[in-house]
Amino acid sequence: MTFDEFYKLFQGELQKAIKNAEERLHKTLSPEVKIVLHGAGHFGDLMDTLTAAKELYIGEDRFYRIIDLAVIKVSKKETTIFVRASSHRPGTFDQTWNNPPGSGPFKQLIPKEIIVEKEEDLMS
Amino acid sequence: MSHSGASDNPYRYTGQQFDALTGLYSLRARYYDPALGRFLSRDPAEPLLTLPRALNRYVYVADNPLNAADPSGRQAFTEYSLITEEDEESAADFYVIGAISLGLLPEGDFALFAAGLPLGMRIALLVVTLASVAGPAIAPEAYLSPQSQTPSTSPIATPTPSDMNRVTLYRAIGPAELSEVLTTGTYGYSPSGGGKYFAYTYEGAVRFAKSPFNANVEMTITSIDIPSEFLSRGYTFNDVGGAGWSIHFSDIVLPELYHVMSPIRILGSP
Repeated sequence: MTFDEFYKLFQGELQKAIKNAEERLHKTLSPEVKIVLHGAGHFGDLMDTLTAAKELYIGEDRFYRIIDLAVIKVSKKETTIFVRASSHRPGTFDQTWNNPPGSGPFKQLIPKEIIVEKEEDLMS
Repeated sequence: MSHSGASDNPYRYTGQQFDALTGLYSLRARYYDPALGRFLSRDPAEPLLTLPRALNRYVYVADNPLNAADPSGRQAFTEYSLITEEDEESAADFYVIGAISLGLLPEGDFALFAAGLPLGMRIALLVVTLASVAGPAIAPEAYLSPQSQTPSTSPIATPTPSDMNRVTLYRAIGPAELSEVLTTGTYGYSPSGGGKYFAYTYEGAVRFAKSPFNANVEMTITSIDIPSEFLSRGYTFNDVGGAGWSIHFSDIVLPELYHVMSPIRILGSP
């Protein structure tokens, strides 16, 4: 899997996480995404999507085995997504979590709480 | 281990080679000076942190020469274990045998019982006996009576006066992390900084351990108690296809977690 393919898969999974949060909050969320990245050498660092993808991409046939995603905070300006790469030894695509099949390492989590900042400013 | 009387036999105490010219025993990894009663160099094997005597890496068999030998110059326990990457199972048996030889475990039926335990439990058995000598770094009762543990089925266990405001969390761990638990009393730190997840229920940890993802890994279920207020230091998620309701603590928070948590209980195989 090339980086572009990986990035496209990552963006698709981020969109799923945003959609899940929108359905829960009954709000349209900002498309401006910030990633809080845990793992892959980061300790909850804030970054944009492309930077996170570069950090999470290891190679064409090597992947972090599990990469969790969940929206944890929303504001009018941006949507913050928790992303966490597991510490398992990286493996092939088939060795990733891959549930549902095709999702590869990406796993959607449901947050107990989504912090909503300035709720009145959110688009309804 | 000093020797008196004339002898031309170069092989003496525990069959090790004595060099008359230097007056030293060669124990392969290092030399032992019988006059000083110590090795001339540090033990190359990492010491068991639960056994303070082993932290002095110049002493012989943790100062227990009547019950132990160290023909390699490495730790007595390591020697007994005969450990190799290919043979971890038998290594665990030898760990137990080593502990029996050191007088840390009783012989007889108990040894047979120990040999019948799974790998993780056999290693745990050794550590708990070491803890009984050195002071428990990890709750001893957790090792020997996994069946007696009553896993919580609710996200927050019903508190009793003694554990008011404490929450029990569960974590499924693989062999490497089990080793970390047994040697440090903590879950360690993830090499990539990803932090650690803990399931709110025993069933959740078991479900993750038994997922196809872990099909080829020998998993062990563990648990800890933490102050309920500490839950605010992590993010709680529902991992629907995995461990269910779980909390993530970042690597930055882990030192605090390890400070406030109870000793890790090892509940056994899922």
